Amino acid sequence: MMRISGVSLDSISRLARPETFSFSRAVRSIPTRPDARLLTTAQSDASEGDPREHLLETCLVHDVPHHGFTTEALMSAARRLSLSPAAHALVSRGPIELVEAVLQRERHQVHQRLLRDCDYTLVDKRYRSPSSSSSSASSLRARALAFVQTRLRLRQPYRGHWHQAMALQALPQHWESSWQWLALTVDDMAVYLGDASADTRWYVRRAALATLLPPIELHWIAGAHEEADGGIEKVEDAYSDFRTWRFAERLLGDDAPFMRAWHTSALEVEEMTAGKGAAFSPGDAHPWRTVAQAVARTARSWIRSLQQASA
Amino acid sequence: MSRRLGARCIPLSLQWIHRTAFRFDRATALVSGWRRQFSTTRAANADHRPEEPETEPVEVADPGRGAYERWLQFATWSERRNILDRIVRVDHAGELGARRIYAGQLAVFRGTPVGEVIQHMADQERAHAAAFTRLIAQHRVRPTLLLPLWHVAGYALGLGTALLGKESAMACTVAVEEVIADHYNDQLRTLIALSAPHPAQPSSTDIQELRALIRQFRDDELEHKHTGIQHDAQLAPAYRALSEVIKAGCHLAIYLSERV
Repeated sequence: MMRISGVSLDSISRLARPETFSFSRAVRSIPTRPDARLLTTAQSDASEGDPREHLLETCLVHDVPHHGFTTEALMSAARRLSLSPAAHALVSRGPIELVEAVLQRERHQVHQRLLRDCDYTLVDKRYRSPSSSSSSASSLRARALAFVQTRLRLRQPYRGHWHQAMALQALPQHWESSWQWLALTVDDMAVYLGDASADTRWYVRRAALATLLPPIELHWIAGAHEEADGGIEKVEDAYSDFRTWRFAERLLGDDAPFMRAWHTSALEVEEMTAGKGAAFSPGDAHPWRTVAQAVARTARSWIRSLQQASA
Repeated sequence: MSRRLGARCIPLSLQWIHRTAFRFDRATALVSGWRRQFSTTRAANADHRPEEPETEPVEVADPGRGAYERWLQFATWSERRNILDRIVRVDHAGELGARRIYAGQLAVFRGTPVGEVIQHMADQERAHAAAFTRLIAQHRVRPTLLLPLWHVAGYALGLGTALLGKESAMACTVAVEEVIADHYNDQLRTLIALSAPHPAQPSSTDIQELRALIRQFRDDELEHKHTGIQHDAQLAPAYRALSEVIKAGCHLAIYLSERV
């Protein structure tokens, strides 16, 4: 019926682009770089039909490792797909969407590897503790480091440009989304660390994790520049990146603020009614007092560790 | 410099105001939909007798009967997820608050005959709270930030009404349980609308489980209300005023716990 009328929507839209163009053929003809594929293979099925997803995917695989998280990378990806460079406007919010695409793929991969498949290939041997459900400090540390290592090693292709990503996330117009991403990551991590709390500890633990991740990321970025300056000779050293993990281990030490925050006691209902018939609960079990004590303890320990660091 | 900064800030803030206005508008529509539901619920429950076990709120052939339910038919997956999160969050907070109220009352009445009645109800509330704590961990729902506040406020309410006397304590129970049972009925109606098939949600076993749980708890709360009435709640001093104040407080707590 469409042919009888002479003009079909399909033929009109075909006029707009080169005749031989096909998204899937274009991508199949592009030589792939195996390191950047690590993050993007899982998403390739979903992106079959959507040109925007396709542009993001191509950009992440080929252009971001060279051009960084910039509009130039998007334009270069558009050219690679034989589109007009103006097609970068398909990604309407600009390079921040590239950062979010990296985070989204990373989240997907971490979920698949650590939670579903128990795949610890990206984790150092001493942190591989698949069946540890105990909440002792050492197993907690191992799990936290396994999570962070998997994430950052999946992000390795973008390491040299990740400072741009962090700067983009720090722009005021992106505060909302970057806050949401941080909250999501921290929630994933808390679940992976075996947190099943349904009280104030839920907030305390996630806040503690949120103070943990950005410093490790910053340290990891600094390592990238060291690598570029020739401070690290061998590629394996750059990959194993022992300084970052030593720093992370220090943040996760047995009496570090994080561990104390993680193991804070809950405001239990029984705690309050322990008075057994007393009209008023005993003063030392009062919830606000418990909260105030925990806050004061954490602040004191932070000040102490800052003093130690500056000394 | 400052002029350029200002020129950049104005469109950003206008955009923000625009978006916030839209959100506010949608929230208002939601609440007004609820209100409409709410008035019918109260009329339906006014002459309820616990001897006849209450069945499901009327399941009509068209599940999109109310405004809110009609909106639910077109809700996206994330909106549905938000609604379920809210339900679990507010119920968890509510059951914890109920436990605290009974704990406050028991602090006064422990060892007396009334104390045993209250202890029985407190044990049931403990089971309810345990169920919602499990659901919070299982479905990764954020517990409300106001838990410490309800912790203290619930205890204060229980203790205060118990100090006013046995009848006032029971009047408090009746008011609180009435609001909670009404709220559970609203949630059941929402869950019925949500268990209709949806492309993004092929199986509704979680919703069915939640529905069964809430139905059972609603019946328990109505039983508590009936127990309160049997123990002379209506003879409490200033019964009407007391119960209205407590009900208003419960509505405020529900409103806040769903959102914060």
